[in-house]
Amino acid sequence: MGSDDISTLEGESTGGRPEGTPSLAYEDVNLSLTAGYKPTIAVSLVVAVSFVLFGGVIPGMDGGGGGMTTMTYTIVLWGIVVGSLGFVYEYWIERNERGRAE
Amino acid sequence: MSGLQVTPEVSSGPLAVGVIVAYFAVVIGIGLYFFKRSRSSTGDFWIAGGQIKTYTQVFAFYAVLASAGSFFGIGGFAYAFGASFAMQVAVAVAAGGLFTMIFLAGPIRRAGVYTVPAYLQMRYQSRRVRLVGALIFAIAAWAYMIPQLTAGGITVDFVLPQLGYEIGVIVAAIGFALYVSLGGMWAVTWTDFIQGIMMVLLSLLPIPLILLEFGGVGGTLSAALAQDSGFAGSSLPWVTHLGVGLVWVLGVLSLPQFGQRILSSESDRAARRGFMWMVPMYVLTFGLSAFIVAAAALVVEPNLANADYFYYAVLVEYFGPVIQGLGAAGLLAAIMSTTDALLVALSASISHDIPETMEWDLGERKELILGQVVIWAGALSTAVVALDPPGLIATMTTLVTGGLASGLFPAVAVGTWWKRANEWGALAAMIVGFLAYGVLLFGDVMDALFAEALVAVPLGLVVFFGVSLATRRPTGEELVGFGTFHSHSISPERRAAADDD
Repeated sequence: MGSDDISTLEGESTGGRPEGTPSLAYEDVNLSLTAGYKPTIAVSLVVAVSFVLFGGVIPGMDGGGGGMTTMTYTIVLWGIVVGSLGFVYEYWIERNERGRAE
Repeated sequence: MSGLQVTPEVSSGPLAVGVIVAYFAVVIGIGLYFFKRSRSSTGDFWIAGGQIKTYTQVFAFYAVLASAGSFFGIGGFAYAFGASFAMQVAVAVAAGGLFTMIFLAGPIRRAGVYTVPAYLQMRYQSRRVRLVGALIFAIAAWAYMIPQLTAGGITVDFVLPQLGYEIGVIVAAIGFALYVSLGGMWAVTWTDFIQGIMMVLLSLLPIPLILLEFGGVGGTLSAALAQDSGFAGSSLPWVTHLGVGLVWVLGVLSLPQFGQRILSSESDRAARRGFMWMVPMYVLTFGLSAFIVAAAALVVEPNLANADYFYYAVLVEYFGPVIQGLGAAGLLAAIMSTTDALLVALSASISHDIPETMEWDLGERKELILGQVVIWAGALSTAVVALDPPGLIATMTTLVTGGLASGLFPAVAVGTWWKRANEWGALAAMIVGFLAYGVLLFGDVMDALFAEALVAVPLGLVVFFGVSLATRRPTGEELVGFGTFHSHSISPERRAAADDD
């Protein structure tokens, strides 16, 4: 079990292009073609919006006070949203990659 | 907080001490077991050969993310500032883990390098970017170890008060350095796996007893609210919530201990799925810690001298010496699992990245020896600082994470997905973001706690976009690394359609 099993590009002169890779132009690189493009944008937007909504705006409107506040519930809700989104992302990626294989 | 300040007294009898000693013996045994394998190559020492499977990574990721700042700090925040604030911190940390999954886990693993600074070099095709990244990583990894060793000293002091805090810090530092230098990333991975499972079980252990005693979740919260009517909310201002949320959501993306953990995964899918399972587990365990365990601590001991002692207060109330010893071992696990990954990151930055950027050809043997020297020097020098800790544990970890978010978030996370970013933008953003954060923090400029990142992160982003756009766009050759990170996920039918256009 040693270096033979390791997939690595370390040791390239700039940690860069493996030998034999065809040259690339700026325009050739297009992220919108990747399986993760839309899931990444959508999931990160949901995280950001839910943070502002459940961690900022709604609790801010409540104004605090004693007992179980609105913030208590919205923060728990944010936790549920964040805990679930990884599964949504992975399902989406898998679906896109299955589409590639077919 | 009023009344007599109380410090819970944990059992220091032979049973509790035996559990701690056995625990140290197991982790050092793991280090010895992997001694030979970790010396097979630098790849084995730094990233465990890139062969770690999903089920191992779930608990190893959890163990790395749930440092002393989580295990002591989140419940401590609930006890001191309110459960909603603590829960927000827990969810923000988990959201940072989620962001790491979606922005970085796949691209970093596909890069096939040993360290995140090497990933930066590959992305920007620049040794300068790697050098600055390695310096920031080394500084942050070193600083992040201080609160971990502080927590180690507190734990040893509780279980073995005859040794005291100072000896506890030194014992912890030597123990951690020993098994990391022996077994490298192989030992770190398997100890983190065991430690992750221990931490999940130990964080959940008191909950059934608490719920039975107080009559369920409602009863527990009612009892805590009777003690402090603000317990379920937060006593901190809105700007602090925003600052701490931003720090953790963005800061986890740049934590030095995560990069090599991702690189050790057997595939990009294993790295992603490790995070997928870890994130809800983190939210659940530390959400319960904030709302249930800290609530019970407030009821059984409302006048703790230090809110970070909340977990010990509960252990002392409900459990005997063996469980108290296990609880202390769980806290040591939280500390160790982060510290060991930090030691590997610190060592890799100094003994692997910096020599490569300077074109010093050390060879594998010299690099491994230097790596072990750095591990010992890092552990012992942070132990010296931790003898007189500069702040609360969770405060220290949050402040270091703020520096990382300010210095590295634009170049690492945004640069992974924005192809127009170039070497000059990355260099300017790293230097300006990190220095601006340092000036704001050490100049004591901001009024609210943790608010420095609210200025430094946007400043770093503005500099990153501004300088990249003001200088020439990267050539195709300079985007070779960028293309490699994303190439495995290109959808061929759409690519074919694009090719036809």
